[in-house]
Amino acid sequence: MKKRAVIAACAVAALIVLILFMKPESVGDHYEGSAFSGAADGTVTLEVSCAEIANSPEAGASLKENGLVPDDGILVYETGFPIIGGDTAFSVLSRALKERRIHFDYSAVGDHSVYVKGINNIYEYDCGDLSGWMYSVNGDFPTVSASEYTLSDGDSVRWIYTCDLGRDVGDTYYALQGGGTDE
Amino acid sequence: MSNESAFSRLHPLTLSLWFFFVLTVTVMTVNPILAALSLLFSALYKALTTGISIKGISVSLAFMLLIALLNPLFSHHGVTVLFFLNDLPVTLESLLFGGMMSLVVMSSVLWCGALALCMTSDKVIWLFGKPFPKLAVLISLTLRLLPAIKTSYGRMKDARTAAGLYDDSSPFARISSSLRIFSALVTMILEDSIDTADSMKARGLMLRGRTSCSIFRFRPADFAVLALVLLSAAAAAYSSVSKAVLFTFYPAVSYGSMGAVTALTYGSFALTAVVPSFMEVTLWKQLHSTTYRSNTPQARNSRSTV
Repeated sequence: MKKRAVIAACAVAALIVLILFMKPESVGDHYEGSAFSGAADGTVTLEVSCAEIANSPEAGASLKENGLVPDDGILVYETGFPIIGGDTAFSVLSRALKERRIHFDYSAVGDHSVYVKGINNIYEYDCGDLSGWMYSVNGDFPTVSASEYTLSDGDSVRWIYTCDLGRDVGDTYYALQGGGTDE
Repeated sequence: MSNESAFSRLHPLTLSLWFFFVLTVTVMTVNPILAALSLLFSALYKALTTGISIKGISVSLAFMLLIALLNPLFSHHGVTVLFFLNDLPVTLESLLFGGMMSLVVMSSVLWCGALALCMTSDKVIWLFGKPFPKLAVLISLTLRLLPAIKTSYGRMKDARTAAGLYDDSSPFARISSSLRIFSALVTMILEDSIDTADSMKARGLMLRGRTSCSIFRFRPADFAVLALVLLSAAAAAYSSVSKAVLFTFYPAVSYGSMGAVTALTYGSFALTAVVPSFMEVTLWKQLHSTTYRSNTPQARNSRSTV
């Protein structure tokens, strides 16, 4: 009986902790709170593109059926976005998508890193085992997580959907390594 | 044999193929109709054999609800956003997928219970006895050993308690007393296994041409069930390849149109899954009509189950 009471207390405590960490928001509230406020420290340009899927006739059939892939594959056309100090390639993307009311899913990896899983319901692995979202800054593909890449004024950020581990969108990392085909 | 069900009287081969097919479909499917059919008939069979209680139902429903509600916390996939939680979307699609998973998990649990009820150890040994005779002996010895160890341990403990040698005044004393019994138990098991090995050798185990007794016969009902399983398996395999029963949850819920193949797949799966319950219900009618009939093995069997 004592054991059962302890287990019940632990379950209730876990539930309370879980509920305390939950911050529910209605859809309207979530997107309303996206406006950029305060003085900007600079401007970067941002583009979000899944042109690789749009240009391939066979890739992402179910995504296209649901109208998630625009004809030209551009989800966010290259636009200037204000940044404040400490803004990263991830925080700018997050803010921009919220402003445009576009679906966005990511997961935290470790303390500071994040991994972008899906934008506009276009997810990793939707176009094969080597597909997913990548980012480039001024044409280069950084080898750190987007949330650890601090932007500076005038940077040009692109978020691109790759179907071939970056090789189809201009990332030379695996081409130089000569490997990566089995990942 | 008091808890024997009508279904478990089928031949071990029929039973194993039936369970293999139904469990495979149940675990692999993401089609809510197949999952719901599976849950319906597994729950019906449980109600007919071991019975269900209000408490059991409410615990199961709470468990299913937990599975359904946990999925949206981890999966944010889906075009219909209900609300946001910690900056991430909670979607209708992932909630529905969680609901489908809860059907799958619950029906798998129920079918596994039915498997434990029907596939008794003698059937398992019969199945593996021909291709793997050594494995079958090993399984049967192990299955016998575990309860035997438990009984012996209880007896030794009683004996030592009666002799005033079992000290449970403190946790440490209890552990050391138990270890003494355990040591005697290990000696006994080793001696016993040598005895068993000698005895089996003396009886000619593993000799060529040795036969073993089995009470299983392939009856007309086995042919009927086996044919049904094969038909449903063919329909399920064809529709999974041709995507006739395809059901996708992400990014939006979508399913193919209801064609002849789809109907055949659902219908044959439902017919297959209802077999245990059907046999359970018809058993009682059959018992009424055979109890006073001639002394056939079937009639004798039937009487022993009453």
